[in-house]
Amino acid sequence: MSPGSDRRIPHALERLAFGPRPGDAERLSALGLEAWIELQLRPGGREEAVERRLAAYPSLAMTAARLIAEYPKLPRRRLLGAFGRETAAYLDAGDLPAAKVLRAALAERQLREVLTDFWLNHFNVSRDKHLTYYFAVPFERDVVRPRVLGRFRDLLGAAARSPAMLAYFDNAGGMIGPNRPSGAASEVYARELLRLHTLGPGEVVSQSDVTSLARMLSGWGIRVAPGGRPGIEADWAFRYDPSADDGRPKTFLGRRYAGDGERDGERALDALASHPATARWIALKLCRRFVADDPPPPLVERTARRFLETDGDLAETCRALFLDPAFWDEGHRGAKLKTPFELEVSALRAGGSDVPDPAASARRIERMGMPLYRCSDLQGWPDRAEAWINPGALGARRRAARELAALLPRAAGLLASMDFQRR
Amino acid sequence: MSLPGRGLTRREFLALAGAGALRLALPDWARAAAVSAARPGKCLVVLLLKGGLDGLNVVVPFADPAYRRARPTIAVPPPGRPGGALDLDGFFGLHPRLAPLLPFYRERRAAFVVAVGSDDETRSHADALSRVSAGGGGEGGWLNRLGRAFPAPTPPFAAVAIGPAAPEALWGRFPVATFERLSDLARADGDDGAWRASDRRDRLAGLLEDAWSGFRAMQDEAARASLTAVRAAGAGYPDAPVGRDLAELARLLKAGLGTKVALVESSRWDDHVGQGGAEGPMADRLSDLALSIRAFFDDLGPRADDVLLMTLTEFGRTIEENRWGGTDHGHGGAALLVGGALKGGRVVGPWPGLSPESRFQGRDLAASTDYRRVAAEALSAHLGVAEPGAVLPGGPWPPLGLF
Repeated sequence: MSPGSDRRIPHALERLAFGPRPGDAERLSALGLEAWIELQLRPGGREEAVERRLAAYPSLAMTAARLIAEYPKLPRRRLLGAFGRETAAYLDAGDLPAAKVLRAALAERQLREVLTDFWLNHFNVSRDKHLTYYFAVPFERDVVRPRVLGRFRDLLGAAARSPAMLAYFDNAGGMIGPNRPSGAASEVYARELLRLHTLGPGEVVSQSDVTSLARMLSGWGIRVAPGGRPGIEADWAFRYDPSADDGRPKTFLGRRYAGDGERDGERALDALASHPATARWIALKLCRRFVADDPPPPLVERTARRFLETDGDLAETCRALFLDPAFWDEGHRGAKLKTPFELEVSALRAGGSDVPDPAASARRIERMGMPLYRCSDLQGWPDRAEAWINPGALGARRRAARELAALLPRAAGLLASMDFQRR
Repeated sequence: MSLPGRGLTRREFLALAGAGALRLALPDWARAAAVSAARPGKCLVVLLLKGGLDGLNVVVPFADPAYRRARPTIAVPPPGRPGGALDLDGFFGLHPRLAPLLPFYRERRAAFVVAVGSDDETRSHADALSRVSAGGGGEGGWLNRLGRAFPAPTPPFAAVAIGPAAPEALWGRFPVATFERLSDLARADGDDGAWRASDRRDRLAGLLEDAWSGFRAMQDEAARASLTAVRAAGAGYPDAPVGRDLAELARLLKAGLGTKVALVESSRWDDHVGQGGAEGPMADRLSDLALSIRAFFDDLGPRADDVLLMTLTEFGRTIEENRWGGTDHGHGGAALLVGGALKGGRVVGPWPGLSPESRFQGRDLAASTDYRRVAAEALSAHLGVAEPGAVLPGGPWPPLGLF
């Protein structure tokens, strides 16, 4: 990167991070923008200051079984009859949202937080749905967060096998939902796996491919207690149930598969992860997040190519995007609307806050129309300005900005400007 | 799939609601559908029950012999038994926790439509919600298209959604006022709350400025009508989201700001597990729903006859109870209508029956009445829309005789 990269620093902080803190621009300038980007792309690394704060939320470290066992202060009989909000009300719903605000506001590895937010949204599961309320905790911690700079295929596979995803799509092998007629068991999930998680909505997929994919995933479910009833004795881990597998050959995306049990599903995911349409869809979504609502098609094309060349290496794909001259085009600066989450966190950062009350932040974000971890749209929160801008929403943003300005005198001037809505 | 509201451009149908949208020329179909000016003050309230309402446990076909067989643990008992349905016409009964709606029915101010649904066979929430929001095609959501048929000039609160953003049925070019609480519109003390304007001149700046001027128009109108000072009657509303939302809407309607269509959402009707029968989680929600609707009409007082409330949901649920004491995504369901000039006190619509041979795809209650037929009659008879088929394509929609 050229020495003239200083002008890019504010843009980098708006896109690879949740906005600048006081002094961030100077620190980046001293370190060098390229070195900072490389640091951000490196996986691993502990965030000790953040982790000390997160210790206030013991549920974040628990397994699903432990969460289910510890939190509902209900007789077991009630638990079984009330998997909805009646049970959920007994687990502190503030743990994940508060942790998300703390991490985004305070973590040094900002890109990891941006990408975790991006991929959680890509593989959206809402906590409002049954046991997903509990599974959302290990889903973020064990499935998504460790893989955001890894390989897409690993992330896809881990998401597909996660109890959160299985439960969200009522696809837990008849455990949580439905006693559906055979074959139809996971068609809802199969359709969204194709349309939202891999090939994208632009790719025409036949109904027979949807049906085949559902059949290739048949038998995938969640381990439950003996006797088949959901019970808190179970460890709620992924389980392959051969008796639920249809075991027959199928044709998927033009290829024949013999009907090879659990491996069928993995092969379907292999085919999807390496599909050019998947590369284009993931590249488009990344470019939309990091560049513009309507990113330049050649940039999307180059990003997709890198995704394919590297076998879906997400760090390499991101690096190619961030090093592309089109990424730094002046016309993209400030061209993205902040989501309510980005607005809140960027205000906390601009104000130099140590985030004394992350739960209050989460509530303010919800009042702006973004209840964290509870997006009821299967495709996650929208990433285009139109979806967030309407008169009522802007009124709610103005109100939140006034509250924040009172809390964060250092950012008060910024918050009074319409431009602070943009990143 | 080329339906509006799907795929990449799905969100683009959101209400943009810039003041500029008011000046758009009306296309021919919209003129044809223009609302009669002879019906000022009338308002249609659509209550969207998200998740897929189990109509069979709402308007209970207790006399259909297949009903109890299909639902060994969650059937509502017949009238006269403990927790029994409230007899409506000797065949159908109302869920006992909907008792607050029974007086409306007896006064002929409520009607219940059975086996109502869409001609679409999807069982996906997202797809079904998109389709009942699209109302059979055309641009944007059907309630937004309805808005564009109102005679100009339209006041800022002509189309309203209670919530942080307009739901899909209101997506489109007609400006929609969205707010969670009317108090959100109050001006702050000692500060006019204005944004410091931007020097930028790009697409995003245009969107932001249009929306901001829309919000200011809402604020002005609210201040003019002393709206935030209008006290809600408050009494009788249960402490539930749907009750709080309907209470806010009642305040707005009582202020008489020309609201012609309003959308209120109630979620969590997706009872796959442990839904219960006469009692249980769904019964508790039905109780909240009925008490909220009751309180809403009581609160409206003399304006109650100007308001027609109808429920909408993405699909009904399976006839058969599943092994987890719940029901799965199905097809035909039920719709509740209250208020307006309904000729109520009737259960409306042909009953396809629950026997295996009469089921849709061998499994679900058939949708013998299209929800658009119900909606189209509400548009013409209540709002005075001359050509409801222009808002709700796919007809003809012969009246069911609801009014």
